[in-house]
Amino acid sequence: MKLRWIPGPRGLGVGEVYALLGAAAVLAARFFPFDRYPVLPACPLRTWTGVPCFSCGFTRAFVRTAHLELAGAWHASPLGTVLFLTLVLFVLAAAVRWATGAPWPQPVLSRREGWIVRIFVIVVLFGNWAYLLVHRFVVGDWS
Amino acid sequence: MIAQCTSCGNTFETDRFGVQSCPHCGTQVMLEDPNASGAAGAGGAAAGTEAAFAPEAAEGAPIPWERRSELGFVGAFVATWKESLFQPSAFFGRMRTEGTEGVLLYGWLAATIGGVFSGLWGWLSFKLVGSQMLQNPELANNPQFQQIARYFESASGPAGMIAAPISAVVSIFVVAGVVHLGVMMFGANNRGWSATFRSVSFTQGVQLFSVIPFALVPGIGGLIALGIGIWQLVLTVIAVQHTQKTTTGKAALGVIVLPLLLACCLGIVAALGMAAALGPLMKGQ
Repeated sequence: MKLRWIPGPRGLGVGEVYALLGAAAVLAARFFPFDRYPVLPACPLRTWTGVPCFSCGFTRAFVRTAHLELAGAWHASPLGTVLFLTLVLFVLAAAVRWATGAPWPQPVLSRREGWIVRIFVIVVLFGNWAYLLVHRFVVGDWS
Repeated sequence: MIAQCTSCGNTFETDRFGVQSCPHCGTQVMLEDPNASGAAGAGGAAAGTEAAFAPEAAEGAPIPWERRSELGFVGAFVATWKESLFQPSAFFGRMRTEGTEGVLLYGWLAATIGGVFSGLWGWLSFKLVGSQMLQNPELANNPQFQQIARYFESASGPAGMIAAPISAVVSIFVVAGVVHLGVMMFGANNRGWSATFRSVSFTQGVQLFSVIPFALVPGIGGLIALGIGIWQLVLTVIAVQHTQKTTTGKAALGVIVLPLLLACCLGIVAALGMAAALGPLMKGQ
């Protein structure tokens, strides 16, 4: 894997837009009362069949992590917890990059490394799903 | 001579052959000189002769939205809407893939208008149907129905309509991000993020069908909404296939698989779910 250094932003680029969206998600998870105002619709797969989907529990994991309830967040969705912490890091890094104009490292993957990343993502997704299914149907402590 | 555009079907007067723009729809068209090719015999096209020609499909020819100064804002919007929905292969096939200037504005306008009306019709239909349904104690105590009721009260109606301009921007960026991740996952990322962003933004025209109050049509409202959702999905596949210069299979996998896996996070899948979830409850009435 090689790293390519991209010059710092001169304005509001794509990275900054996604950082703003990420910041909005982090702030919403911390301050928005999702329990009182369910603005996100329920998962259709879970509503119809009772089976959680790959990303079920993300909202709860985000909200709990934002309130530093890490055990509860992990229980709701391990992948959601890791994603939220990654999102916080991304937002902070983007803010630093935007403020200082520091260059940004972008990994350049070979074909083989690209496939390894793809397989890793698939394994992580299915691993997280397996965790949800086991806790929903075997252990019975996930709803 | 009078030429007829095979894209919009309108005729216009022109005094030359070669690539030119249809003044009605803005499509770049190629009017071949019959004398130059020697195929049409002597005389060629003279004044009063009607010449039909095919749309120029060369990549990079400007789409109507990129010719707003020439066609006017409304004219360019309407022409882009018509072409992107009804001739998607020609439209996305010739659209340039680099740069995002002005692209968001088109998608934002279409999605905002659609979002405002969608919120209005959803709220009205729930007020009309939901109030009757709530009189049924079995339904009123149904947690699934209560969940749907809470969602409609929170996310549609006046609040949803006011939030439509913001949610339109957010949804375009989020959908483009998720679709691009899918495109990367399936090895179809040949032209970069701007190609995916352009694809997602220019397929938002489908949202304008929400102006029609399908939701108020008893029985088939949900089916029509489902059909429109599928249409947008198919359009996005066609758009990604052309802009990323990839195969239909890879484009379809990139557009569909990841959003399906992340069903909770995507409004389109959630909307389909809402329609399907309401179906059995309606039957119970």
